[in-house]
Amino acid sequence: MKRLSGWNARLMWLSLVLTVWPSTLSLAHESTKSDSSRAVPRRRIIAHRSTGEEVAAFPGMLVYLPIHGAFLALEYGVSAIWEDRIFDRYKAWLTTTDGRAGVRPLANSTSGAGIRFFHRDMMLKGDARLLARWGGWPRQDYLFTLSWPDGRLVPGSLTFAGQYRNRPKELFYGIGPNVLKSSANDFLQEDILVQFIYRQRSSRVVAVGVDANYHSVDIRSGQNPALPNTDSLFTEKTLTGLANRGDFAEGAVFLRVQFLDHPGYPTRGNLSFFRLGYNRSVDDDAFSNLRLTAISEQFLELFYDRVVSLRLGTDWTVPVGDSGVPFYGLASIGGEELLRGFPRGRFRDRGVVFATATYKFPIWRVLNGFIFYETGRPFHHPRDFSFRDWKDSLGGGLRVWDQNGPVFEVLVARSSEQLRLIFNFNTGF
Amino acid sequence: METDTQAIPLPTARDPKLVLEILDKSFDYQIKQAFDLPRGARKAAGKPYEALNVDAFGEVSNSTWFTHRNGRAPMSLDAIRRGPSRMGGPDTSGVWTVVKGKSAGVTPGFTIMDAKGQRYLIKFDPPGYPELASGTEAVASRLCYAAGYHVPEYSVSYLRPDRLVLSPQATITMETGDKRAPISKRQMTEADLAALLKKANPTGQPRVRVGASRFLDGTDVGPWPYLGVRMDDANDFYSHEHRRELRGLYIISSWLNHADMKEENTLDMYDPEKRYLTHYLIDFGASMGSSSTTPSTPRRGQANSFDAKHSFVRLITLGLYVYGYEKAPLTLRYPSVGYLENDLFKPNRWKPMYPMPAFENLTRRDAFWGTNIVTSFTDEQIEAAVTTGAFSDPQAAAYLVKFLKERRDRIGRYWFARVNTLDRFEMLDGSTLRFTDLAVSRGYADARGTRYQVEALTPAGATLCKDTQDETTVRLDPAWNTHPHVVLSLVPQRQRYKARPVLVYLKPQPNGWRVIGVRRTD
Repeated sequence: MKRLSGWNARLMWLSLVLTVWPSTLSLAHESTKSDSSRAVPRRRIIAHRSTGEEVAAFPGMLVYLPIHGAFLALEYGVSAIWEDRIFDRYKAWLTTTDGRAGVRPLANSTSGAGIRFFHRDMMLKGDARLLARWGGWPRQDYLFTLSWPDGRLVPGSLTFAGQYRNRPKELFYGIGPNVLKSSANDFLQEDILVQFIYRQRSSRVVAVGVDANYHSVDIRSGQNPALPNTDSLFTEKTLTGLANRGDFAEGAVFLRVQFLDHPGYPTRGNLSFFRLGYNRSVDDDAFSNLRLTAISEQFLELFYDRVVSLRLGTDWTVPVGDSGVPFYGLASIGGEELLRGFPRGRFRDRGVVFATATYKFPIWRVLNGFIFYETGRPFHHPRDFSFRDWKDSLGGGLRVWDQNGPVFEVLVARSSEQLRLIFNFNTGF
Repeated sequence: METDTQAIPLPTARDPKLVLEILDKSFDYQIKQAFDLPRGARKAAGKPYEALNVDAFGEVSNSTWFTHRNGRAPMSLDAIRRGPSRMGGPDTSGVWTVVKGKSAGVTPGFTIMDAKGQRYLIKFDPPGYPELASGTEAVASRLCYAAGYHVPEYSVSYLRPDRLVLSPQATITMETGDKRAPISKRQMTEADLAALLKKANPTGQPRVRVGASRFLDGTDVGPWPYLGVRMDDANDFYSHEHRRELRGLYIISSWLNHADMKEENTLDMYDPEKRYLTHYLIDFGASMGSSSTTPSTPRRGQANSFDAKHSFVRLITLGLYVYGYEKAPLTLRYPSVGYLENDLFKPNRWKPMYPMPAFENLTRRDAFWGTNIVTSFTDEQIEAAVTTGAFSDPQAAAYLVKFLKERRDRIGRYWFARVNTLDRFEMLDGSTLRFTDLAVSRGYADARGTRYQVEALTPAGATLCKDTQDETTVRLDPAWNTHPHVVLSLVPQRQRYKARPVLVYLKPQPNGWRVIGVRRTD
């Protein structure tokens, strides 16, 4: 008889051990339980297959074993979340006992990681919030808001916001639709924004409001060593707003019209937003401008919760004086909301027009899939409008949602220039 | 067959976690099956693992799991109506002493002790759907009992708020609003009882319809596992996924649309005197047209709670593939019986809440076993069971009867077209074997279009005679008794029907022949 070689012999022994082991265990179990006075019946399990089949199943079980281990870890993880409520415990740990104040983590691919502090029902029964986000030091974003919901202080809702933003690696490619990717350069933009917003709902569908802002912008040399600095390529004469600090006071009115069947997962209805603001330069730069934003998204159920939405929008910055619009105030496409296949600020000009078609479909109760196609183009003037040189991107992703909207979203967007992975985790806390 | 009533020590109470169960059975168990090469090979060869706990006749014995009832001999209409009930529901002539309250969840409830000292769990119908859960539970539990399973006593009863008395030891579980510890338990007060009644009976009716389930006798040791055996029960010999009564339960559950199959809805009760476990199915409020707290939906029974296959198909087709249950309108003709539709029902495609291993191992023989039970229910028996739901609208009750009859017949037509339908083999006079064609006797096949191929074989497999006949009796030749036994191979022949033979083993006796075994080859 041919002698089994090394690994085969070991496998054979392992099979035998694993086959015989359970029966040995059951015998051991029996012996420890045996108690003649109580006459415990013999522990016996009728096998559903022969020993030969058990041995034949062994290789498959060996492959399955690591998968099983991974699933066990996953199962216990989910169980810890669902049954042992570790998120709730974690949340409670980050919240004061009266539930009024707390801290929460934040994460998305736009702003990086961060934290959110909140304190409800504080000054004049207002709710305070402080968001601090860091997308890799020294990129920083701090937003403080103090808000009073409808009727708490005034008939509508009132919000005071103060924001400091430091973005040391902002990209600039040039102005217009035909700027090359290779022309990328970078600059540092530091913003301080103070804002008051008053919003009045006239019905469940319509809300109108006004906002008043003070915005200070400082532009300096960028900190990306791989790219040239914007101020080394341009001067104030060739790029408006490059050399000066800009200070603006803005007043705006806005209108929001929303008639959606399910706000968290709309299948029918429309959501529109219009805003008209006057941005007055309060220093000597004479960069005053008018800003008009109009976006409308129509939802249409194709069949059985399969929904198509069409979004059309435009954003214009029109100079009021002779000095033009500073480049950082230009309308732009690219980023995490418009033409997601391009980086933020990829195309800039005085106006942009864009359209997005999204098709979303249910995968599971709280999980949707979606695919989208987006197109858009910057224009210098409305009379330049044409269908040439439009940029487009397409992609798809998954979205976990609850009745209030998306909780987690991950998507891949592809343009002629790159493939981008974007995620957004709204903790749902 | 083994007896499973030997004395054992009190087992440790089990408390499985539902999420773990769903994940384990939906993913891990499925992958394990995929890597089980012998199992796959057997399935591919058409020889899957058959149920273990069957005798020489392919039957299960009466046990702590199952007792033959309507499937073997028709129960009287009274017996159907009575079900497992020994007390006939709580005694409504005296006071009910509340010993425990539950205000958590959509529907409140409490535990009472009636004047006879019996403890009942009292549940209210969901808001907006009077009679739905209580009626459904009473009907489904009786049919499940008549099928042979052990179930508690469920009945429709009427609570009189003025006859409720609070026990000084009563406790209540409540929602705290704190997600860290959402449920709290404390002593129950009169104010709690009043609040609970207000929630359940907002209009202050003097008599409120409730569902009552009597507490089972013995010690509750938690649910029985769906997979493997209960290691601390020495009477548990067969892995549960290989028990015929649990595999065949698929057919009964599909009939009752009892999709709420989860370990939590099973219960092992330990008898402290006889010292063994009895295995129960409990909680039938989410079956037929009810989802317990709301009417059922078209999805229920069509997809698992998390259906990996359906989700995957939607993902790869970008949602263009639409399942039938997504298209079906949610029409409620009679709110008291919930959503009852059979259009989508396919007897082999029905799905419980999550994949149940015993159901995954269902073979044709198991399906025949279950179909025999389901189709044994006559129209009159179904009507009798539905009367226990005490539906105030006769049309609603008739609609439920129609649903159950239609579904029973769909099951009969489907499975009896795929298995050998011959059964009930008995010797008439020592020399004549009689059998019953269940498809014919229950109206799923035409007797005139059916013939039977009969072949007598020696133990070595040699043919003694072969014939095709119309009759359901076979005359045995006395000359065959020179063999230690003979085998009769019987196959019904009908149009568009092909079955494998059922083998009947016959042993010669001094006064004729005796059936010593039956083997199905489906």
